[in-house]
Amino acid sequence: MRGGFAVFTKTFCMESNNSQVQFFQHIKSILPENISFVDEIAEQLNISNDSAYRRIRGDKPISFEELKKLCVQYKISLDQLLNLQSDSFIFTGKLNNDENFKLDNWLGEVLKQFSIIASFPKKHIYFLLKDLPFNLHFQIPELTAFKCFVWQRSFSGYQVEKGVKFAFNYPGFDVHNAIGMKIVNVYNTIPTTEIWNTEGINTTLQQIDFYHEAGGIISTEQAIILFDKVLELVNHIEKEAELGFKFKIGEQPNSNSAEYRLFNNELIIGDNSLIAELGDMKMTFLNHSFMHFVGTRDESFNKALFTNFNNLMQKSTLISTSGERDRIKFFNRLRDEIHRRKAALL
Amino acid sequence: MEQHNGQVLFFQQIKSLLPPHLSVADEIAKVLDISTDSAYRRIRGEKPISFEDIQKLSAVYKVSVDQFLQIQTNGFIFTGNLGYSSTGFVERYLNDMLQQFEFMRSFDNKHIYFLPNDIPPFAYFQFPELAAFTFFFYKKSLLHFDEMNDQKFSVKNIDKEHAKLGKKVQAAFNHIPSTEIWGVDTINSMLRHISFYRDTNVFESKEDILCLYDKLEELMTHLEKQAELGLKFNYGELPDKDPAPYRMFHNDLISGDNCVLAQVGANKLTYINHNLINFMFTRNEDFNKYTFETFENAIRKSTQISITGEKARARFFNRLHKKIQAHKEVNNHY
Repeated sequence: MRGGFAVFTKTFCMESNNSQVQFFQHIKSILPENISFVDEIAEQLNISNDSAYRRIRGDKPISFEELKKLCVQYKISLDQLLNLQSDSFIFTGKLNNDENFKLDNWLGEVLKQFSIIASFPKKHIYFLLKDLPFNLHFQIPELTAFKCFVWQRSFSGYQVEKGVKFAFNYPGFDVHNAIGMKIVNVYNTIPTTEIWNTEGINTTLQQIDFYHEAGGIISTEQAIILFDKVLELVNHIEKEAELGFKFKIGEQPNSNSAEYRLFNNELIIGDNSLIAELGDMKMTFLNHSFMHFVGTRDESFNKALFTNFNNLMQKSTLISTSGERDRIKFFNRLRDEIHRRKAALL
Repeated sequence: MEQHNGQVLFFQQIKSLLPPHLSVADEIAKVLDISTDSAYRRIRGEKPISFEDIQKLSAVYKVSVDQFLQIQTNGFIFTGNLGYSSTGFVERYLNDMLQQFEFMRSFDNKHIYFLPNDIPPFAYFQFPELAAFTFFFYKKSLLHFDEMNDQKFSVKNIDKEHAKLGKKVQAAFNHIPSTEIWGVDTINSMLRHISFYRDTNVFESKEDILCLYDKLEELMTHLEKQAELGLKFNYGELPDKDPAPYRMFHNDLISGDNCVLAQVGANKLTYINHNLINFMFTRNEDFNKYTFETFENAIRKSTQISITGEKARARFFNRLHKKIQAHKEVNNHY
């Protein structure tokens, strides 16, 4: 999220009467002082100094090929320069369309993004969920194993060997579990506000049912363990909501624990979008292609989403710290659903 | 001439994005405010275009210059609305959608792939009661328009012009072949909205609630018929002479995200749902290729319930009908 391609500010574009001139001024601003700007441009474009001057002054338009050379050389994103004033937003993200992309990389990317958020003194995550936050499963190794098993199959390039059944300790599990635990540790340091409702556990429960029914890829014994573990996770989330803090299963919150706020919105099923507050800046991550996220720092986009999130919070019931009656009712409904599905197996 | 090769290709890319009946030279001339002759000179690469021209063209046609120049970034340009004002919201929403469908319709090669998280509104614009309820919900609970604070919903208050426009959108959508992946939870949102409004006394009468459940059942029956025939057609009618194919898949493993992938001529567009109500799209080839692969992967894990799979289809729609019935029952005892 940080570093990488040069970002042009809105002011830059709006004040520009001649984008080409401004484009060259930007290149000049990123060159070391000891380098002659004109010589540098002339050399990069393989033209005379006079021709370079004509382009820098905007007297002669630069061609596409010249633009490309300069953008590649100085790592300039023209999209960021050209589209900031329109109804367009730049999103960034990684696609695992590389054959070598593995779940380890995806988990590593999740850890990286949460670590960046955690590195800011002032930080907060706002999650509008339709499913349980995916990272919560990492607290319980059995659920880590199961979710990794499901996610891996959603990768477009992933080849499933015929007859392979689910195992809690599959080859590579230790690596996934280790990264998962790191994600839990980092995530627990970030104050969080979540909005979801009782449908939030459906996806995980349905996935267990699906692989149990699909030719016994998951055995009945394994499915029962998984339902029990989801129950354990739900009980822990209830504890976190009751105390208003994030902490690991089996531990207690301490003076450094991050705040946890949970809202129940019975009307709306979320979309797994996440707004991260990083210092004075915000960033929105939108979920796509099941398990991927694209993020934007676009101010107007983030403002619109944040306003909506605040509106939804106002229309939701706070079930962390206060609202004991509603909290108990909410978590009992989750437990009832788990028990119902577990009973159907027996 | 070699110097402006990139420029020629840039205009070729814009041409590929235009509906086939439009003249690229006329369009460029209009955008750049130049004569058609001058536009031709630029299109042929005889006259270089300025930085400002690139800026104008990339903004109007949403062309990623980074992608075109093959500048490697992890960035994708998305375009879309951020919000709506309360004045003329429904008209604007429907007209935006109509424009998108008419644009897609104008291409010979077109297809919409959809992974719904809830029932796609363009599946039920032919049921004005359901459409009106959804717009009521958008205005009251998603857009939080002040004037909706004390409003109650009744099917008696359906706006005839909105209903007419909705049917026009539906007709346009019905001419585009589509593939949809549904789960039994796809109808949960609509059921949840109805029961929440019932519990919070937002309906004018009990009959309004019953009417919505009835219409929802009719919609499911219609979708089942479409799936059976593998064709799209308007409710209460038969498929016309040249109906668009309809493919429906059932998958309870994947939770939908309302993502839409549109094949438009030789290009693809991905629409992502955000802020619960808005959609933004990208023309980024890598992104669209990835989305398409994701759809193909999801389809492989799904059960086809259109044309074939009669048993699975009947079972799927029975489950949906049962859910609606269960809600109706609760309502009867309310």
